[in-house]
Amino acid sequence: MRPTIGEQLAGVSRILAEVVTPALVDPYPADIIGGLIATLDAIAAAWADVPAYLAWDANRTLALLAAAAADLQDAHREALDVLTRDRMVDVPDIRSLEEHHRAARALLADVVAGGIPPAIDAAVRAHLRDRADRYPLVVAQRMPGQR
Amino acid sequence: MQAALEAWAADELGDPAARVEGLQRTSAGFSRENWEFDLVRDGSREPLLARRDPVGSVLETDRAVETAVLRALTSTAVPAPRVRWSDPFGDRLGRPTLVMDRAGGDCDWFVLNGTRPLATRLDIAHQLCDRLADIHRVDWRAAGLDDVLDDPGNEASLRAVDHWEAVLRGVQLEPQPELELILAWLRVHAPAAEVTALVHGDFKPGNVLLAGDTVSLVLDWETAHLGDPVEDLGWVSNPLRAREHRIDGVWEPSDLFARWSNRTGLSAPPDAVRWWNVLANLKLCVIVLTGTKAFVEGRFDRVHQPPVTLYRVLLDMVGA
Repeated sequence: MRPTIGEQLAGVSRILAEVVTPALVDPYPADIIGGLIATLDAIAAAWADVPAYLAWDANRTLALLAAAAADLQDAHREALDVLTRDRMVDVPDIRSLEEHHRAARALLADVVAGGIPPAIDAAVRAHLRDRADRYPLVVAQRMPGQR
Repeated sequence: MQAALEAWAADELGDPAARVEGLQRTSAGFSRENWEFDLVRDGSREPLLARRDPVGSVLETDRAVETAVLRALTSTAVPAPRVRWSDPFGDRLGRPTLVMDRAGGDCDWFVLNGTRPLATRLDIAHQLCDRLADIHRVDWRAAGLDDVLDDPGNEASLRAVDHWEAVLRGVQLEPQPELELILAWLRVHAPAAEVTALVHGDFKPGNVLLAGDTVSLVLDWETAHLGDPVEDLGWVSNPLRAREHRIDGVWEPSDLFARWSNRTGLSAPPDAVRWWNVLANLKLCVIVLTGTKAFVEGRFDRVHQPPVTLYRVLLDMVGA
C-alpha cells in the first residue's frame, strides 16, 4: 500500500514543518506544532514495531505470572487462566491485541500491588526494566528553553 | 478574552477607562495559560500577566491557595510575584485566573549549563540554593499560611504518597505495574520529617527570573504546600534533571546540601533525600499521565507518551 502508513505520517510531518510552521506567527501555536511534528516523526519511525512489542510484553507478563501461579490469589489465577487461554496469536488484530495487552498489564498491576510472589519478584522487576528499554516510541521533544 | 479582562480591570480599579493592550498567549508554562498584556490608564502603562487555568493541563491545582500563598509571601524575604487580582472561581474569564505584575527578566531552564562564565553560573547556583533556603525559613505560622495549608507534621512523606496516588488514580488510563511497585517501595521506606516548612514543590531554574545575573523572582507557586523541606532537595537533586540543577564537578548535590544546611540549620539525611528523589520521579510520572489523559480527552494541546524513561530511572533507583 503506497504511500505506506509510515510514508504518510512522515509526509504529513514534513509538510507541517516546511509549509505550515513558517507561517505561524503567534508563539503558542509555533511552540505546539514542534511537539506535534516530533510526535508524528516518532510514530512514523516506530508504529510498525508497536504490535510486536505489545504481543511480546503481554506474553512475557503472562509467562512470568504463570511461573508463580500456585502463589497467586484465586481471582488472579483465574484471570491468568483466561488470558493464557485467549493468548493472542493474530497479531494484526490490533484492537484485540491492545485489549489483551491492557488486561495482562492490569493483572500484573494487581499482583504487584498485593505483593509480588517471591518466586517471581526478581523476574518481574527485570521484565519491567526490560520493557522500558524496549519501548518503541521515542519522541525527541524538548523542554522549554532546552538547547 | 480582551473585553473580559478590561471589564475585570475596570471593576478592580474603579476606572471604566482602563484598557488592555497587546494581549498575547505565550508558549511558556505547561500547566497554566499565560497571557501577557499591558494595562493602560491615565497615560500610564503597566505590564501584567494573567495566569488562567487551562481546559486541560499536566497539573490540577487551586488558584485560591496559590493566591493566599503569594499574598502571604509579600511579608517575607522570598521574592515572589505580586498578585493584583484573583478570581479563583472563574467568574471573570471562564476559568480560575490570577493577574499579577509581569516582572522583567529572563527565564532560562538551563542557565547553570549555559554560556555564562563558570564563576557566574556557580554564583547563580548559590543564589538558587539561598532562595530555596529562604523559602524553607519562612515563618509560615506568622505568615498565616496554616489558614490555607495543612501541616502534615512528621508524616509529610506518607501524605505526599497519599496525595500523588490519589491523583494517579484519577488520571491513569491504563494499569501501571511499575508505579504499583514504586508506591509499595515508598510506603515501606517513608522517612519522618524533622520539621514542617513551606515547600515550593517545583523549584528549578525554569521557575525563576534572572535580572542580569541575579535571581530576582521565584515563580510558579501552584504546588506550594507545607511539608518536609527535604522534598524540595529531592526534587532539585533528581538525577534525571541534572542538566538543570548541577554543574559537573563544581555544583553537585553534596555542595547544594552543605550550603542549604548552613543557611537553614537543617539536615539533609541521604536516605531521606533519596526517598524524595524517588517521590519526585513518581510525581513526574503522574504529571505526565495527567497530561496524557487531558490530551486523549481533547483538553490539552501537547501529546504525552507513557513515561517509560521515568520508569527506567525509578526502577533503577529502587533496585529493580
